[in-house]
Order: sequence, then C-alpha cells, then structure tokens
Amino acid sequence: LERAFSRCDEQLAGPRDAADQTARHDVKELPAATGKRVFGGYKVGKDGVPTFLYRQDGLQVEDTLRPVKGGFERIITVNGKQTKEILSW
Amino acid sequence: MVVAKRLGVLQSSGALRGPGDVRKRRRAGALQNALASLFIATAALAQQQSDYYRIETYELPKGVNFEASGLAVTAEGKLAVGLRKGEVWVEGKKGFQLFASGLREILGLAWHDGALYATQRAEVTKLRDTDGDGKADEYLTASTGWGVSGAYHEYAYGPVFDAEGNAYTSLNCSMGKAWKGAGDESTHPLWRGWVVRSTPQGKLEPWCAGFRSPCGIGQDADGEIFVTDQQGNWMPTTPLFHIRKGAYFSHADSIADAMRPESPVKIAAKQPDGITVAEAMKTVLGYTPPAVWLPYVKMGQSGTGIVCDKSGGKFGPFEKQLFLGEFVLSGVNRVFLEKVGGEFQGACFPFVDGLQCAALALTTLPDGSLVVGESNRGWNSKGNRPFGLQKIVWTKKTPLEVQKMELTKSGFRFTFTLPLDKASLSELTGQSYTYPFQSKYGGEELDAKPLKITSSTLSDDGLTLEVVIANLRTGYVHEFELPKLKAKDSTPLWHRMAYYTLNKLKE
Repeated sequence: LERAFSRCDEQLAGPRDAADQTARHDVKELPAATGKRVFGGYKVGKDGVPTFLYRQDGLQVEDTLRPVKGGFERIITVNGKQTKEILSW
Repeated sequence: MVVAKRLGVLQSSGALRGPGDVRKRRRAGALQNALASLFIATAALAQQQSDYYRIETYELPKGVNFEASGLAVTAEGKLAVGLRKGEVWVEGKKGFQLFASGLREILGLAWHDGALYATQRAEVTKLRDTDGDGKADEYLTASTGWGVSGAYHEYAYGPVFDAEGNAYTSLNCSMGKAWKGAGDESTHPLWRGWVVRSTPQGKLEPWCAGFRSPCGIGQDADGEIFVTDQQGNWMPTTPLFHIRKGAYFSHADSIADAMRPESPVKIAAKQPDGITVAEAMKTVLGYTPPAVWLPYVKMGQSGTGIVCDKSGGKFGPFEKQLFLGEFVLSGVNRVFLEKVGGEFQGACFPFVDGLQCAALALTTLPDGSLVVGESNRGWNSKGNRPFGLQKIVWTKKTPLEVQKMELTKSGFRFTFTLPLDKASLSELTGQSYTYPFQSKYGGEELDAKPLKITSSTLSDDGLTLEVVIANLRTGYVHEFELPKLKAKDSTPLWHRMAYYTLNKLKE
C-alpha cells in the first residue's frame, strides 16, 4: 500500500527529468504542469473514502482513489469531465 | 450532560478533588508545593469563590484523551469541542458525539456562517455535515499559506472572524531551527510570529507581527480582536495585545518577514535589546505595547484563550469584559478595557482559580456560563489532571469586586460592584513598574516606585472611589493593593489586587 501511494505521489508530482522518466518506465507521463496545484480540502463519502479537491492550472479537480480488487480505482474529474483508471501492479 | 458536581476546590491551594487524585498529587510533589506557596494569598481569598461562581465538570466520552483545545457554540447552541490530537466532538442528546477526525493539532474552533472552522497546524478547515448524519463530510480549506517548517512550536490558533468574514489566525514563532525548504519553499514567507488573515475568497494577508506564542485570540463585544502571548524572549510576562493592521508587538523573529514588500508592518530591520518597555514605546519604530500586562506569578504565568462576556448579566456584574484563560494557575483572569488617546488600555484582576487542569480555550454558552477547555499538554499546571472540560457558573450572588478601573486626569476611578461601607476604607498602597524589552527570556519588574497617593474619595453612593496619584508614569503597570474593604451589606472584597497598564495619560 505504501508503494501504491508513493507511486501515486510521483504521478501527482508531475514529470521528472528524462533520466528519471526512463528509469521509471511504469509511470505514465502526465502533461507538463504550467501552474500551481492549490489544495482545497476533501469530501468524505459514506464509505469513508475521501475525494480530494484542488485547482490545477486554474481548473477545478476532484480526485478519488478507491481500493478495488487488484488495486485502486482512480477517478479524476476536471471541470466536470470524468476519467477513470485502474491502478494495479 | 453536565455533571453538576460542585468541586471542593477551595479548601487549599491545589486541593484534592477525590481519592483518585492522591497518587497524582504525591507525584506532583515539589512543583505543587512550590506553586502552593506562591498562591497562598489567592487561596485564602478564594475561600469565597464557590459562593459566587461554581465550577462544574463535564462527563466526557470514555477512552478519549479529551484535550479540549478549541471551543465553539453552534447556531443551535450546541457546544463543539476541538481536541488537540485532531478530533471535533459535538454535544448531542447522548453526550458528546464524534463529528470530525483526522485533523492535525487543532488549537482553535469557531462557528461561522453555518459551519465549524478548526485551525490545524497548516490551515483553517471548514467542516460541514451536508447529509445530516451527524458527521462532517466536507473538510474544505478555508485559510492557508503560512509556512510550516516542522519545528514543533509552530502552533496556529484561531480563527476569529470579523464583520466582513475575514478569518484571523495567530501563528507561533518557530522557536528553534526552522527548515528552510528547497526551491520556492526556501523563499516562501513563513509569517511565523504573525497574525494573518484570510479573505472570504481565500486570499492570505499578513496583518500584524511580533508575537512569540500567541495562544489566545478572541474579540471584545464590538468585534475588536485581541491576542494573548506567552512569557519568554521579548515577552517579559503575559501581554494582551489589540490587533490592528501593521502593528508590531516586539518579538524579533517576525522582523525578517516584515522586510518583505507585501508586509503591512513598517519597522526597522534591527531593534534595541535591553532597554525598558517604557523606553521602547518612545524609541522603537512601530512598537505597539500591549493594552494590558498580566504581572508574572501575581496573575499567573501563561495566558491562553480569550472570551468576552456578552451574556447581558447572566454571568455576573462584568458585562462586556474579557476573560482570559491561565495555563499554569489553572484559572481564569478578568480584564477591563477602556480607550485612552484612541488606544485600548486597562486593568486586569484575578477571577477564578482551582480548575482541575490548565485552561486553554474559553467560550460562553447561551445560558451565560463560561466553558473552559483544558489540556496541560504534558507541561506543568496547578490543576494536575491531563485534560478535561469544565464550566464556570454564576451563583447569582454578586461578589464585591472592582467592576471598573478607569484612568482619570490625576489618578484612577475604581467602580465597585456593591456600595462600600465607608468605615472599611483605610489607606491604599501601590507601586508602578515597567518591564524589560529584551531578547533574554522573561524579565523582572523594573524601576519600581511606590505610588504617591495623595487622596482617595468615596462617592456618596459608595460605588466609586476616586484616587489621586502624584506620580503616574506612562509605560508602567500601576499595581494596587486595596484595603480589606467591605460592602454596606458586609460582603468582603473578593480580590484585593488590581493592575492597570498605563500607556497613555488622559488629556
């Protein structure tokens, strides 16, 4: 679990230099951040899972990481548009 | 909910409250004895305390270290309690219920605009229960942006809200090696030792500076904001500061951030060290003295939470005055303020002692009682329990006290809560002293001189005593020991000491 969060942190931290990216080929590259991420708090669902709220590059983001069979389901909503992926390793 | 258990707190200083305390008392040993000797005078007078104010102890959830470090009252009149270790509990039909958890070191709680606001180490968080199940499901960042380096003293207290909805937070100095951070972080302002405010839109604004450990932040009846600080470097004893934009209150750790272009505080990059407060008032650019000093040991050692009595008389004869928590003494002090020359100054008086634990946070309930949130956080306090929650309730019997102490052109006017028996009026004595303005820890009373009291005249109705003094001094605390006065109905004077901080003379 610790590793899962550390991997998630790396993704959230944005792109690293080329050498680093090569060494961590399992990390999906995110588009380059052009602005600050501003933390806005979180909402807690009935199941106790938090949805984190922040603004990135001026866009409102909702970010949920929920444990599912085989890994985590990550749902990101940016300005109302939702994307979902399963993180597993 | 409240166990109406009258505590026998007043037989002696550090009185036992029950068999369970015997062991703790023995362990406390030397410290308790030392403190007991310091408070003999207080204890003797406090024989009467339960006649006027009784202390009730709340029943707390079992198995919870209820270190009550933030208090608020909801619109429905429910008491909400923030615990230092990061939880918020709200009073319900079946006692306190857990409302929010997972927060970092709550040192303040407020109710504002339909929500609870808890101050954590790095932000003020708006907590709301949107689905009505009694638990918070929204934890929204309401104010943030000050620096947290990891030094353990970096406490944050508050918030209080002004009429425009700005949230004010008081920030402890780092006191120790602050981690500078890397990249942007190393140039990020920490605003340590500052009061900052956040607009309703979430913009953080540095407001005023020079604090050491500004543990209490509260408002008077008109919404003016006041802060208590802790004795230490640049703080010779507990001060009560009136918060204004751009004011500077003496602690040098905040000077570096005051040099930033966005700082509203305009002071010199260096300040003198080792002069007196009275001298600093004349010579240090931007220095704003406290409205009231609370003399060390005499008034306790460590001022904490602030609350104003807005009960309309339900809490006794001190309407609109401020009440200040006292950590070491484990009690509550009282402050009367007036404006002289456009600035607040005033007097402090002992009020209630004998709480079970260090007083940390204060609030008032709609019934007029005063609630004290308690935690000694492992430090020393006269009340030797580690945590708890108590309330102070007026018995409806009026004590004989100095209700107001106002400066006149030639001395002071004492107004009493009951008409005095003229026969009990004998000679008044007093002294005045200033404090050091210094980086060295704490500070003694300096340049003490007896007050030259040339006359004291009681009004025909027995309620006011006009005292003329030949040697009033600005920048000095004027301390009085009143005679053993009695009211016309024989009620003895409850507290004989009064301490007026004279910053400005009356024109």
